[in-house]
Amino acid sequence: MSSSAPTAAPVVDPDVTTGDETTTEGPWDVIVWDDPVNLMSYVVWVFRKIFGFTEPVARKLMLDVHRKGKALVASEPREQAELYVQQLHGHGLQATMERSR
Amino acid sequence: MSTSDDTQLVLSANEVHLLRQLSVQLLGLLEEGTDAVVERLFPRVIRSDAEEDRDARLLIHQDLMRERLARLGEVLGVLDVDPGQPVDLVDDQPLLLMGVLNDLRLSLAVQSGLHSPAADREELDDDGRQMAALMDWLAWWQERILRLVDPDALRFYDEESDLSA
Repeated sequence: MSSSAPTAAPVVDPDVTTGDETTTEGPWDVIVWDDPVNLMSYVVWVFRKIFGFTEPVARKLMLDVHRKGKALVASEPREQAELYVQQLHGHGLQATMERSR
Repeated sequence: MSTSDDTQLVLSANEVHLLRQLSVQLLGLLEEGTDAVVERLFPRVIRSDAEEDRDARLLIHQDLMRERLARLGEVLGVLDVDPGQPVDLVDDQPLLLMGVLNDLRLSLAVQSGLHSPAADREELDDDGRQMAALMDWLAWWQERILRLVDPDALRFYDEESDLSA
């Protein structure tokens, strides 16, 4: 994110809720990756807008992205994970999804 | 550029011209659809599997392209004011403008090379420095809008003493 060099390390956030247990495929993790352009304040706002996080939770996840290179922001059934990734991409964030391990 | 109240922006004629110029340029890149800027605005969805990624991107990015084009079109309409006249933003237009400002910053970052974590502003050529200055100007404006729509999003600036740790 803008204003300092990114770092890289995996992170699992204990605050993130798990997805629908009824799906046969299992949940998908939505991961946001660091980039040197998006503003920290903007990323906090995007997390709050899309996920409804409180400011402290959004800030913690933003700082995880910034300092560790990425952060797990949601774990949901595939369709919901796709929607989140679409929204994150729409806001210019680099987000991917992968099957939860 | 300055804010006169929550929904009215006062831009100089030059600022309106510049924002419109950048927006039209981005519109062209999106409609062309093959530029590195487009790749940045529509990045990978699934990193571990190229085939799955291709399918997911088709699904996700078609809708997203329509949204981005519509957003740009609306912002260009909002910026269609007589020189010196205020730009009135209603409903969700402040958020649409902030999204466009972010897309413009990302576009300039790709064109200048600043999208790379290894990029060094000190090593940019004249064009790159000009684009970096534009990115800073757009960032300043993004945070002015953020301050209006969600001041809490900027709270950490006051509380985090070491963001580079």
